[in-house]
Amino acid sequence: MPVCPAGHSSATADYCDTCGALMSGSYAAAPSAPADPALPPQPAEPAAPAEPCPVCAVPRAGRFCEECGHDFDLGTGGAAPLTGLPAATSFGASAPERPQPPESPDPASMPANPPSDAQTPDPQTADAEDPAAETFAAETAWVATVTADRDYYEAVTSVDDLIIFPPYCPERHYPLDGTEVRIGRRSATTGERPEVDLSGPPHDPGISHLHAVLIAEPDGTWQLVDPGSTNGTMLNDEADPIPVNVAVPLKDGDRIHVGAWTTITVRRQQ
Amino acid sequence: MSEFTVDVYQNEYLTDGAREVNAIATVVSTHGGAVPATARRAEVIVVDTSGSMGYPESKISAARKAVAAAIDSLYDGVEFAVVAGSHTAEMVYPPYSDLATASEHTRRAAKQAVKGLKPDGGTAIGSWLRKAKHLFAGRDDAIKHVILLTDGNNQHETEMQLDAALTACKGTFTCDCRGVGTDWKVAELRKVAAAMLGSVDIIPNPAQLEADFRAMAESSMGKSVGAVTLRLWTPQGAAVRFVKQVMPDVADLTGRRTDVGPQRGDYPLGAWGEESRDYHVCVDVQPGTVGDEMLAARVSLVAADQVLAQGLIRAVWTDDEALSTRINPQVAHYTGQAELAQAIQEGLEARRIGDEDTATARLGRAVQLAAQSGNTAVAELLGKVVDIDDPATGTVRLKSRVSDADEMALDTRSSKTVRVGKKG
Repeated sequence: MPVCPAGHSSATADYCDTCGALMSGSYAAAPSAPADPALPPQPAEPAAPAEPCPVCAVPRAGRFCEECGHDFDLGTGGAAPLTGLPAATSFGASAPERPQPPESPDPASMPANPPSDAQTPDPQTADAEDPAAETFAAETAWVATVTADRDYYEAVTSVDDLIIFPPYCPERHYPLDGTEVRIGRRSATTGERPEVDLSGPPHDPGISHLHAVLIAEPDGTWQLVDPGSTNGTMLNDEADPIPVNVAVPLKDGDRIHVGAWTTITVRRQQ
Repeated sequence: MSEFTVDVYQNEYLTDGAREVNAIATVVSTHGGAVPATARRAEVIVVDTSGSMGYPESKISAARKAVAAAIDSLYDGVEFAVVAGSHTAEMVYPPYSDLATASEHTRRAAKQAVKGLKPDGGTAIGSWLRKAKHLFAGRDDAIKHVILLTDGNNQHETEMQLDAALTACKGTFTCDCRGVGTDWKVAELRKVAAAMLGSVDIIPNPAQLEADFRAMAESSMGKSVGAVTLRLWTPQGAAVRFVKQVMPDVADLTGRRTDVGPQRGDYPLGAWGEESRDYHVCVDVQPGTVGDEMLAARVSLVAADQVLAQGLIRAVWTDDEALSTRINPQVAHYTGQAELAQAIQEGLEARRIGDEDTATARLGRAVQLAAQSGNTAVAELLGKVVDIDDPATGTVRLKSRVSDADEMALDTRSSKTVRVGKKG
């Protein structure tokens, strides 16, 4: 199957049947590492004009930039800070020189892939935790990072519990914005979907549909409220859950424990 | 089998950062020999027999003659039926609820039955369309066509009932609509024709009905490919602004899109004979930089899941202003024709509600556009509604007395277009 200069495999030989790029002529060479044709095709969104990636200007097709891996939600990552190559200035212009980025760690597609070594940080995660990493939000931004936390799991479950700690769980990042951010599981019956959706997989059985809510304060900080979850919400190393319906102010680095093994770490980014 | 060709006319050169791509796709179908007798055809003629068809008596007698002429034009082997439409839909021929096969014998019997048509009852166009759909049931591979004649408002059903009927019938057959006299509503019949991919026209004088019905039936017999769709591929991140038929008349197809896969959508075009139609496609693409070339859209003609022909709409970014500012004559012409249709419809609407300033301005603009583009047919009709002082500047005065027939003729035919270069 022909491969276009942007790395899409195309059923048509004149122009790419994904991005419309001319297959030969004005482009000198095909990329060194063509995209794996076995990968699932990216969902197409023909109706909405996509916002361009701030790093390489390629139109957005999902949370991560197809070209450089820039994370649109967090405003981090991308080819320039990762590889040190000059940022591409236009759509496809420098594609032939640069090797293809690794497949974006899209949480939806991850469980289908073989579990990777959990100790190896992926580029986006490394970037998000690197204080030197560029962020594109000018003002203070808070980010919630969801992880499977073995210490917390061992503290709250006993050996005869049937709940097992998930051997694989991708780290997920949620930028906090708006006036409130709900934490919970989406409901198939009502269609309600909280902003921080912990439905998994892997599935944490101890999380309520609406488990906790983060509420923005006028000064830019956030407060945590448990509106009455079934199993309670723990903060940091406290043994007891926070009181129901009482707002607790959050500090940078606070760990919110919900369910059997889920920990949400809130961090403030400059 | 018909042969289709698609020719694309556009200025593919865009300035740095531009994203809007316009193109005219001309689709021509030619028969490779005689009309194939293999295609199955089904024809239902629906004639309004509401009470008003008896006033004047000449209307119903002209309708009887017109239906007879249409029956005479049916080829042997075509399955057909004649339906009398009032507040319900009654079979005229065959006497049972099914289609008859055209032959010397059945044509004569049908014409005999048509002679007995009596005006009585109301008007419920939606129920007529549902009847046609019922008669066509089970003939999926046939080219199905309805000729619909009415003389009055759709009084005996609500607008919602008509809309529901249109939704139910959409895509199952095409329907050409004719209004006789001046007591029917242009907007109503235009809605039916647009939904059923057919034409709409006014027959102000009942005497002209016969010739018109014969022409419609003959044109229907000339269709050799049913259910043709225009398939539009657009690149990732692109947005379709509109898809319009611009020749032989203006019809916006944008809302008729059915997605058939990622980045692909189908627009139904109805049945085709030996003819030519033009389409205006407007797509927003991700802007490129100077030197980039991309495919902005691929236009394919599809029938029975087979691609019959295709055309490419390209985008090339350049810093040469001589290239990027060039205006493609086809695109400009049809943009003007679409504006002409809109100006007439808006002008007549303003005239109806008594807003003379708007009416004068819009109809003046229409006169100007019709003169510039050489659309003499529409220019002539405009001349019956306004006094034209200067067609070049669009200076007009509203006529104080305009016959209903002239106004309705202008309204129904406002969307008729002409090709580039036919300067009157």
